[in-house]
Amino acid sequence: MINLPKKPPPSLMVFAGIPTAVLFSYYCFFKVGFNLTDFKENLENRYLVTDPLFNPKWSWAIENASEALVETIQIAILASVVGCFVALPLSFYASQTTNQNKISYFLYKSFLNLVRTIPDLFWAMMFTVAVGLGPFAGVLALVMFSLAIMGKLLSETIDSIDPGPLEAAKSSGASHNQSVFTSALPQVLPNFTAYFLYIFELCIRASVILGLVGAGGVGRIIETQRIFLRFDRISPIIVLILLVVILIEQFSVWLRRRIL
Amino acid sequence: MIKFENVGVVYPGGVKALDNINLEINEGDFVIIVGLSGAGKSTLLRSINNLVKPTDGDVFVDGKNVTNASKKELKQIRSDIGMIFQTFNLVNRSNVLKNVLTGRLSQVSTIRSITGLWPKEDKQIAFESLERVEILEKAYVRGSNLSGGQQQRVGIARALAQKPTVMLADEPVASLDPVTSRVVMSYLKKINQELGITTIVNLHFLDLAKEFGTRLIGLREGNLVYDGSVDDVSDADFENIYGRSIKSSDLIGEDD
Repeated sequence: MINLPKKPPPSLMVFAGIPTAVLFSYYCFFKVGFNLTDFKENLENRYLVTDPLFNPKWSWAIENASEALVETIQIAILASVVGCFVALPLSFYASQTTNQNKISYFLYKSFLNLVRTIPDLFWAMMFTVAVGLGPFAGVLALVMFSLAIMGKLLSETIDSIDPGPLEAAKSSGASHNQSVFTSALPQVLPNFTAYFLYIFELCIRASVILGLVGAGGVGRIIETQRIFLRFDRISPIIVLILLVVILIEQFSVWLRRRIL
Repeated sequence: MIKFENVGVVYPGGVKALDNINLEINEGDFVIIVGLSGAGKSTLLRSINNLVKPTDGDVFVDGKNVTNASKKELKQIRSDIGMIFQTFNLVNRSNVLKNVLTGRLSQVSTIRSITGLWPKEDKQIAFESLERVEILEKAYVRGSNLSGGQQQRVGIARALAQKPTVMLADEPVASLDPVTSRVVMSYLKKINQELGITTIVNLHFLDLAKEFGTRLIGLREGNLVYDGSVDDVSDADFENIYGRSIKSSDLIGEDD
């Protein structure tokens, strides 16, 4: 029989952490006024929403919303392409592996952080003021949205690449831009493609929401119908959006497998 | 000619990697630098092309001061110095030809290198370099699909594509098996003899150093403790360089 090492006792984190987490959750429930009685009472009025929701007006939706849905997809395509390709060079400046200048690294990183902190809905509201209501404002808002996500993901991927090939290019007398382009870029291209597809999916979903503030696409129709509580018209639109999202997701999964 | 004048390197954090090195390396020499890891071999090599900047003293390559060179001069000096690495440092996702063309970057405009519109002559030089290490048939194979020995030969071809006058090799065989190690070392030796390229190799296998080198430099804790012909070196010298007796792990061993 070998002498097994003694199993260490559960740490203080477990002893103190679990009760704290339970208490904290209970406190949160209490604070936000979560109670099942309200829920039960309100359920009696559910027919206002559920009846129309489960009686979708398909013909109306297809006739009136399909054009806007196509617009939503167009906004997403344009915005993710432009946003991601603008983010590509910026990411190399926002990584310490490819930008040794501490000041400019900090500036680029801060810029990306700033863009990311501002919610996409807020970008949309600003751009509807700047360029007027319509899909163009939506495109601009989602360009910022894509740029922020791509900048974050890609610059962190660049942080973790193998610096060896960069050193090799540098040692041969190559300029900084040349080294980055020939030695760093090929290392992150597969990631870039994967991130791009992911961001495109996010943009499809986000562009639906943007319509609510007047930035074009199918969200505009949802917003008008919601005001009149026409859930019988909204529910088929949501199903259509779901279909589009599933189709695009399948496509990007297929494409990702082919590329990577 | 490469000349070290009172060169010292202290890394941020206070680690003294090199201490007052004075050294001259003549054109066409095949020099092997030995020493334990941490003795300053890599630092010495990298101070020649200024990948590491000396904190004291100056390094001269062909009469040009590397340590004080401007950005533009430094690129010019570096373009004449080829370097190969322990971990090969190939871009695994790019094919062999693209990797070798990296060696031509300093001679080609940024626009051309980015768009891939390489001048015919540069492509020709890349192919010739691959031919010299007998791996031309792999020109369109991805770097990641090659064996370690093949990757290192591509590494040599990339350095050769610079048409260098000096070749630096930082532990070129440390990631390879004994047989492949000798193959790679013979290519370096052949290139040194046929093209007259001054070659400086860091090694930690003493038998390999004796087998291929002509001049041997020993480093211990950042100090130059041996400098002489390989033929004159004794076991006592090696023990002085290593600061301990020689173990079997210091030898790469015979092929079997």
